[in-house]
Amino acid sequence: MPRLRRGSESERESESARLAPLETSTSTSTTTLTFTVTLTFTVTVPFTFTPMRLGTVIGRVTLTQKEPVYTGGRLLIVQPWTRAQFAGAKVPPLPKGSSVIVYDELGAGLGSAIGFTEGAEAAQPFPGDAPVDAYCACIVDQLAYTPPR
Amino acid sequence: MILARIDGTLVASACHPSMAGTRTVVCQPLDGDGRDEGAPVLAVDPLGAGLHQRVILSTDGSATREFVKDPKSPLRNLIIGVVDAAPSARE
Repeated sequence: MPRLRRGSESERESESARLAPLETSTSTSTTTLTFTVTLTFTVTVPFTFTPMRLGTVIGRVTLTQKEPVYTGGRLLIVQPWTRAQFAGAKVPPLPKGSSVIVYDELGAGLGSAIGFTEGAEAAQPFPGDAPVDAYCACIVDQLAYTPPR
Repeated sequence: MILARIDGTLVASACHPSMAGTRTVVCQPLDGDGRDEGAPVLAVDPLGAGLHQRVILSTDGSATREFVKDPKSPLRNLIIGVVDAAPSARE
C-alpha cells in the first residue's frame, strides 16, 4: 500500500511540476497571470514492527467453506501480549486491543500462550501460495522474562 | 534491522520442526536513545547473547530460513550481532 501511495504521490508531483510554470500574458492589458500549484503530501509511517510475537489464545474460528490450504489446521483468535502480559498480567476474557486470527497446526488450546509469526513468512510452511497472514510457530512451555531494574 | 535488548528466554516443546534445537529469546526493541519501544518480540539466537545484552535483530525471514536450513520455516527474527557500544544509546 505505501508503495502505491508513493507512486501516486510522485505522479501528482510531476503533474504539479508541469502546472507550476504556467504563465498567461495578454498583450492588450499587459497583465501577467502566474499560477503556482503547490501540493504537499505528508506520509506518516507509524512504527509497525509486528513479526514474531507472543499471544494468548482467546477463541477459535470454524469455517465450513474455506480455502483448500486451510485443511488440516485450525484458526485461533489470539490476543497479542503487551508488556504488562510479559510481566505476568493475565489476558482478560474480552481484551481491549485488537486480536489476530492465527493458523495453527500444533494444537494450541484455549488459554495457551503461543508464539506466532506475521507477514510473508507466515505463508512459508505451505506448499505454494497461501492466504495466511499469521502462523502459530510454537506453544510456550516456559517463559523466563526478567527485564532490567 | 533493529536494536533490541535480550530480556528473557523461551522454552517450547511443541513447535515448528525448523525451530527445534534453536535458542529462542525474548527481545525488547529499543529506540535511538536506548529506551524501550513497544512490546517484546521473539527472535532466534545463533550467537548465544546474554541476558540484558543489546543486540541487532534482522527481521528478514530469508536469513533465518538459511540459518535453520529449512526453506519452509515460518521464523523471521534473527539475532545477527551483539552490540559492544552504541554511542547514541544512553545506558
